[in-house]
Amino acid sequence: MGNPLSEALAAGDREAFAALYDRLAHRLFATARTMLASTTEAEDVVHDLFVELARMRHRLPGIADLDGYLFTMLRHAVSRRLRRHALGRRGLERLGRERADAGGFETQQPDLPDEALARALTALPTAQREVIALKIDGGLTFVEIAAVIGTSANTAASRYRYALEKLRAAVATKEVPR
Amino acid sequence: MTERLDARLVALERRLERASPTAVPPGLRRRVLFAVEETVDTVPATESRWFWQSPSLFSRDLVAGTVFVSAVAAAIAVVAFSASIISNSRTPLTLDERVRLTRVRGDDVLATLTADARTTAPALRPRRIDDIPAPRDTLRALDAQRILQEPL
Repeated sequence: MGNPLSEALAAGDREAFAALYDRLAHRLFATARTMLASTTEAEDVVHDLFVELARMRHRLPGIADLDGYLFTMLRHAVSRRLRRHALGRRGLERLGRERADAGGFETQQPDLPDEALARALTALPTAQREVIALKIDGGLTFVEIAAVIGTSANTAASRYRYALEKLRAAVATKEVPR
Repeated sequence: MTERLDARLVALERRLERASPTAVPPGLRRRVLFAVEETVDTVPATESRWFWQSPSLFSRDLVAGTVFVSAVAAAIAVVAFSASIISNSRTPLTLDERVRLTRVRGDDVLATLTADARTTAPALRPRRIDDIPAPRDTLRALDAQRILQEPL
């Protein structure tokens, strides 16, 4: 029913998990890092994703598109983290105000190499940021992105274009020469 | 879609691609595969089965299946009983049935009988005491008294 890799994964074959990691970890990690703006959090998400995959490995033979399935799992894991962050943000903001009153403290910098771009990315709405991450870092087509986020390919493409336009406006003053 | 982007957006795409990490942090692979190995060792690769698929007759699946079937049967019985009560409540009962089902006291039974008699046979309705004609003997006695009391 499934492909040989899925069958091997379902059987708990360590080599199969290593092969899957070697094939997808880079794209999954890059996507998670762009969506979360944090290397550490992205590492944790990829780690948890593979553990979850091992836990429910008996379902894998029935899955037709394993890569798409993993990116969908990744998106859900990132969404859960972002929700937790949103819940904890109020407390952090209160702490920040208290610290600011007491003399200020250093703001956390986005954990991405291109600082201006990273700041612009984190300012994007989540729906647009995830499309950028899945396209640029995940290397997915709009059809694949649509399957992952549960929308149409046209919507995914529109979100991508809007996101790029917002990013361009945000980094216009520092845009690299063409 | 990408082909229709103008040159500035394409340049931004390139910039995003350059900012994308080129490698996974060292150590993550070992950490992930170790965790996967532990999970595979500790979590059995079993699918959830229906009780009739269970290889063992007295397994937990069988118990769960029995409980499930019992719960469904109980739910069906409750629905059927409720439906019968509703349908019966819409059927007019005979007087005997009403008396038997409501287990009323003797007075209540009498009241019920009277009420029914009033609705079904108005002619039999009890009248006030003034309406009831006195016996002839009584009337004669009364006349005799009046005659005796009249002045001669």
